[in-house]
Order: sequence, then C-alpha cells, then structure tokens
Amino acid sequence: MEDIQILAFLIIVSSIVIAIASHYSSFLRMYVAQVFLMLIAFYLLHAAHFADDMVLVASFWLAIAVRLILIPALMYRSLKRIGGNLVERKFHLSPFYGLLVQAIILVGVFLLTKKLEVADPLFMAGLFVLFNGLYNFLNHRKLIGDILSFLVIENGVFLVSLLVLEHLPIYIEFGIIIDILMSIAIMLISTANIKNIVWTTELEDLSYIKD
Amino acid sequence: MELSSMAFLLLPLVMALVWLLTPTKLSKKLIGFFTVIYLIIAGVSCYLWFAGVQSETYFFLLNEHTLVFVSLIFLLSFLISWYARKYFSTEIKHNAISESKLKEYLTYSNLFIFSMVFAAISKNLMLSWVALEATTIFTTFLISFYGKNTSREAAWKYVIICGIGLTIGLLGLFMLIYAGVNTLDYTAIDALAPVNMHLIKFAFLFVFIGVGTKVWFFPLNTWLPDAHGKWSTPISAFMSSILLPLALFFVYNTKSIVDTVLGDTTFTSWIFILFALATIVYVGLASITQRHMKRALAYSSSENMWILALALGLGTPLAMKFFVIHLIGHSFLKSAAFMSVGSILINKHTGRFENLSNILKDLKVSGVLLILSLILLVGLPIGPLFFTEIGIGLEAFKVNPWYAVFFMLGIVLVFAGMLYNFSRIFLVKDEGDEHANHNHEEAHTSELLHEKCSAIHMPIIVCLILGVLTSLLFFVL
Repeated sequence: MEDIQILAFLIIVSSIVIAIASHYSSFLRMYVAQVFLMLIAFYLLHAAHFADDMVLVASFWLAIAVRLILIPALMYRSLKRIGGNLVERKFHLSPFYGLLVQAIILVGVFLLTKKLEVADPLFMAGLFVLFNGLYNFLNHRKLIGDILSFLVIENGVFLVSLLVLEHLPIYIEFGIIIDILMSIAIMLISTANIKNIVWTTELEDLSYIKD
Repeated sequence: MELSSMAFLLLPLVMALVWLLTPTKLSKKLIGFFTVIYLIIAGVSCYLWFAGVQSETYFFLLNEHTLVFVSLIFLLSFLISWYARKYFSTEIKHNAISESKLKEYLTYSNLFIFSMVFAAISKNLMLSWVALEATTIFTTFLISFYGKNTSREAAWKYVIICGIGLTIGLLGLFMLIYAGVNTLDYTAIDALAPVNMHLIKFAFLFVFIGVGTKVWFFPLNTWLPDAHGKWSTPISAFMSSILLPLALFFVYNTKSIVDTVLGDTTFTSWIFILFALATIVYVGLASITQRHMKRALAYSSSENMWILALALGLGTPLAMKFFVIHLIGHSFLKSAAFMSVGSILINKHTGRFENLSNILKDLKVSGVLLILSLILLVGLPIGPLFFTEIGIGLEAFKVNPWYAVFFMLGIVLVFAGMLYNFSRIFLVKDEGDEHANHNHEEAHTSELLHEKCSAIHMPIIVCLILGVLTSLLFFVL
C-alpha cells in the first residue's frame, strides 16, 4: 500500500511538471515518465494474478505497446514533422499562476475524494491527472497542446481503470485502445492539415479558416 | 432472432466492405441496389417492432426501445440513400466531388451506420461507448469530406471536443464499476449490491456531461453548428435524426442503472431537467443570430434534444410516450428539412441567409418542401411535434410550474429564431432590371435540372408523410 501511495504522489508530481514544462518535447518526455509510473502501478496492483489470468497479462503488454511505445513515438514523429519539438509552449496563464491553479485543483480533488468516501490514492491521482489535463487543454495556445492535453486526460482515465481492471473483458480494453489510437491519429492528421493551411499551429489563428 | 441482431450489424459492415472493394465506375450504379436492401431491412425491423418481438443474446438486446432506433436507422438509411443518389450525381456533374470521393463517402457512411446500430443494440454500456467513439471517428472523415479549409477546422473541433467528452464519459463508467455496480449491462443490475452512493452520483454526472457532448448538452456544445455547416447534407440528416438521440439513449440507459442501484430517480431526473433547461436558454438565444441554414437547423436539433431530455427527466408514463413519438417524428421531419436545404444548397451554392432570395420563385418544389418541414418542426399545430411539445409541457407543469415556464420560453425563442432566419429567404425579393432578370431566368432554367427531377424530392415527401403519420402512434402506444 505504501508503494502505491508513493506512486500516486509521483504521478501527481509528474502531472504538475507536465503542466509547466517549457517545451513540447519535455512535455512528451514527462508524459512517457507518467505512463511508466502508471504501468508500475498496474504491475503492483495485479502482478499476483498474472500467473492465472492471461487477460491481465495481455492487458499489461497491450498497455506497454500502445501507451508507452506507440503513442509517444507517433507524437514525437508528428511533433518533429510540424516543427513543434523545439518550440516553446505558449500559455494563457503563466507557469507561476498555473502552479497556483494546480494547487487549487489538488486541494479540490483531495476534498472531493474525502466527500466521496474513496480512500484509494490512485483514484485521487487519476482524478487530479484528469482535471490537470482539462486545465492544460484550456491553457494551451497551440493545436498540438490540445492533443497532448487529451493524452494526459486519457492517462487519468487509465489510472482509474487500473482499479477496476478485473471487471473489464479484454475485448472492451481492445476496443478502447483502438478508439484512442484512431482519435489521436485523426487529431494529428487534422493538425498537420491545418498547419498546411494557415502555416501555424496557434489556436487563435484557426479564426482565419473558421466559417 | 439472434440472426436478426447479426443481420442488422453485418449488413452495413458488408456494404462498407463492398464499397471499399468496388471499382469506382460502378459506385453510382450500385447505390440504387443497396438502397433497396436498406428498405428490406427497415421493413424487417419495423415488423419486429410492431410485433413486439424481444430477443436477447450475450451482447445484444432487441426490444421495443432498441428496435425503435434500429428501425429509424435503416428507414432513414433507405430514404437518405435514395436522396443521396441524385444529390451526389449532381455534385459530380458540377465537379464539386469526384467519383472516388463518392466511394469514400459510401464506405464511411456505412461504417457510421454499423457503429450506430452497434451502439443501439449493445446491452453493455462499455461496448456502446466503444461504438459511440467509433461514430466520432467515422464522422470526422465525413466532416472533412469536401476537403475545404473550413471543413478541416470543423473536423478538428469536432474530434477534439467529442474525444474529450467521451473520455470523461468513460471515466464515469469506470467510476460506476468502482462504486460497486455489479455490471454495466443495464438488463442485469443487482439492485441489492452494496454501493458507494456518493460516488455513483458523481459518476453519473461524469457520464452525463461527457456523453452529453454528443447530445449537444451545455457546456461541451460548441462543435455542432460548425460541423453541420460543413457536413454533406445526407450526413447532417443522419446526425440530427439519429446520432444525437442515440447518445441520449446511452445516457438514459446509464440513468436506469443508477436509478436501480440508488433505489430512487430524484437525483438523475433533476440532472436531466437542469441541463435540459440550461441548454434551452443557450440555444434559444443563440438560434436568433444564425446566418447559415444548416447551422440554424443544428440549433433546432439541439432544441429537440432538450425536449427529449426533459421528457426523460420527467419520467412519467405519458412523458415517456411523448418521448418516443417526438423522437420518431423529429427524426423524419429533421431529415426532410435537411434534405430540402441540401436541394437549395446545391442549386444556389450558398447556405447563408443574406445571400439567398427568390427561393419560392426559383426553386418552387424545394422551397415548398422546406416550408412544410419547418412548419412541422417548429411545432405548429398540424404535426405530431405540436402535440408532443404540449404534452411534455403539461407534464413538466404538473411536476413544477417553473419547468414549464422555461420550457415555453425556450420553444418561443427557437421559434422566433427560425421564423426570423428562414422568412428572410422566402420573403426577400431580388430587385433588378428586366434585362438582367431575363438573362438570369435563361441561365437558371438550364441549371434547375434538380427542380424537375423527382428523385431528389420523393424521399423528402416520404419523410414528411412519415413524420405526419407519426401522430398515429398516439393511438398505438
């Protein structure tokens, strides 16, 4: 249980670092670190059942293949293609005020989980990562930031799903993974298409092509 | 009966595969053949519904609720395919799209139909969620179908907002399981299982707001007008008539799970009513300022979704009866309205109100059909929607008079918006000298092949007739 608490704390810290990372490449690196921590949590929660539950083992390897390897590779390649890997992130709120907002989110999530009578630290971490992702989504000024925020939101959902994994049949997990992959692929294609039109990935420049 | 479930699912999937493998030259010729197949399947599903047939497998359920959606999906697939055949022929003739683009449309639209049927008949909410996400993916390709810059922006907005919304909904489903709900199969809930009541309510809120994105509930509702403005007309008709109510059906199934474990409907009903009334205020005010025909109809779709949500929130037997009739009536009438607008769009090459005039003079048939569709849609007292809106309003008044006040306010605002916007295109006269008018008339005669062709108008007329005949369901249900 202590291991899980430490992991939950580290995941929360990784979310905070993600939110204030200065470049999209560092955002992506912290995202990979966060996924790695979540996979450790997956292992710690379910390793005891690996021997007699092949579905859990399959889910574990599926999560490694897609979340840890495929999605970051896809994102990094796309970032390089649209020239976003070395670009500084632009925010509506500066990182200093962003930290204050995240502190408020953290306190809010803590109070919420107390009110909901949920003691699991991973649940609280999952909720925090989700709300953090939503905050990132609203705070970004670039298209690519929206996709990265979507990935962080997905991480929050994945973390909560670890707590109910034994109730999820493999075909549902498979369906969810495919849906996520395809959504991300479409978002990346759309971003590249839009960049070809307005030669920028600034969200406010979308108004030039809006109807 | 298990075969019926598989047939309903496999047919659109097989058709998508056929379109993918068919040579481009054959695409236009095969549309008619597949339109007939849709009619046959629609007939089978309608027969099963009227006969009260029930069938349950491990994954799927066919009952009076799911068969309504299946019947509507295939009936509208038939009518919209019938319309699309001539619509896209004209677009190809005018070089708006190529034949390979038509093939692309047919493939994605059949995959879209497959995912809608899957979402409708799945018993497990997780599987329904996967199907709803699949509809988002396939319709994103259909939004950017014309390849215009504005459609790419609309596709971007759509996939991001709906992606985030559905992800939030997925978290809500996980939280339901974590709270102690024994299964997400809404036919097999154990009402006596110990659950965390607070977490259940919180989870329902997540599902409602998240999946409510697809229903166009406030606050995640900015994507629909942009998307409708860019979708091809057949897809706009599908989205408004079927997909939005299907997402609402998903939320309703979640409601039934939550009501069973809570042992009380107060919380979920209150959430439905609160969001319905919040959306009406927003939609009513926003509908007056619309500049594009399809965007105005998108706001009308939202109005009808909150009417349906209000009926579900009220939950009385009469409200549920009006829900079914309003759902069916709206599906046909909205399809008719979109198809009429499409007919005008393809002739006038614009959907903006300020650029449209002389509709009744230039496009008599399409103009009259649009007027009829709008009259029936806004709930004037010759169509079924008038009676359902009055009925739902009265049920709302019985529960709380203030609900009825907001309800009527919303209806009046949307009615005013539709009247203001659409009257401009029928009443405005294009002033010009006689010579210019004469040349204008000559040029128009050759272009108005559309107006003389019944293939584009018959589906609209059938939709209108079916919409009016929905009133007969008052006596059947």
